[in-house]
Amino acid sequence: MFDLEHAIEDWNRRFAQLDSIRSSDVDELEVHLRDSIFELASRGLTEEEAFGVAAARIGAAAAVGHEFEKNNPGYARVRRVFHWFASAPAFAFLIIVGFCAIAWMLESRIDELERDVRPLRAALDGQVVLEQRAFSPGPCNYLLPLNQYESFGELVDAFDLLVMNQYVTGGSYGKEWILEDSRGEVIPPKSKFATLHAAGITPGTVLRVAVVKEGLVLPDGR
Amino acid sequence: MISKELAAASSRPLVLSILTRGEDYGYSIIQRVREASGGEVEWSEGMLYPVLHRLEREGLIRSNWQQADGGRRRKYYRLTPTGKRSLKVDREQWDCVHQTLTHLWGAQPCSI
Repeated sequence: MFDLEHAIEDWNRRFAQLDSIRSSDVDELEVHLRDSIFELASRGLTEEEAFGVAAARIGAAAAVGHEFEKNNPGYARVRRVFHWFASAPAFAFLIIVGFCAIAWMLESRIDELERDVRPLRAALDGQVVLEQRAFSPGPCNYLLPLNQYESFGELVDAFDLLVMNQYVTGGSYGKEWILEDSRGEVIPPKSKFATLHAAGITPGTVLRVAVVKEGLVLPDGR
Repeated sequence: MISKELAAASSRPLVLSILTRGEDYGYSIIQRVREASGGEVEWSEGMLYPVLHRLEREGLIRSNWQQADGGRRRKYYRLTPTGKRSLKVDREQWDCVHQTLTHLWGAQPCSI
């Protein structure tokens, strides 16, 4: 036994699942379908025949959806992306796994850095001699005049950040600084801590930091 | 019956022309086009709505849902002043094409 309301519901569902058609568009199409069925039935067609003819006149859901998409492609694209995310738990799982992998890699890198940093940090905590020849007033200068540090630890922190920038990451701040060993020889920028360690810079090595920013007047006349 | 391409190309002036007589809804627009053309202009009915929505985005028509007499809600479309101006331009262009073809073919009674 043909159930018109059930048939219209099924028909509606086929249109509603299309990305290119809004729910208000489906409502509008359904009103059209009902008008058409009403008119055909009043001409003597059975409900089932009227439904079949009216649905065929509107066209197949995919074809109508395609026309809607041609006229408003942006809306269909946004909906498609949304549905893709909403209907793909596997994708969400992959995202989580991806984040975990990145976190694991970062953590490994931090461990590696920690291993590299440890020898120099030990040196800093030990007998590093910081010699300040000048300071830059610019915002890039981490090292303030020595008397502005409340403690040796605070100075070491600033120095640590500075050395990280210049000798490990090769950051641009490092350009303004030179690290020298106890014989006054410049340690090349971007040196790995492991390299420094291999070069004999171990706890107890006396290091000096010199500011060489252009245009600064150095107190000792250099 | 006219081709699918010509039906698509003429959908805009046809819809705008029908709406010059007052607001109307999709199903009725299709009936009026069918009647006016003696059944020669037949659209796949679902294709009308993307055209209506595009014309609305272009500001040529406006729509609103209204409760019809039989209790059924329908979306009615009406022409905007921009739509009227656009139709005037469309009409000039279609007249131009029509006159050119009439000139080339010689005057004949319209078979539609």
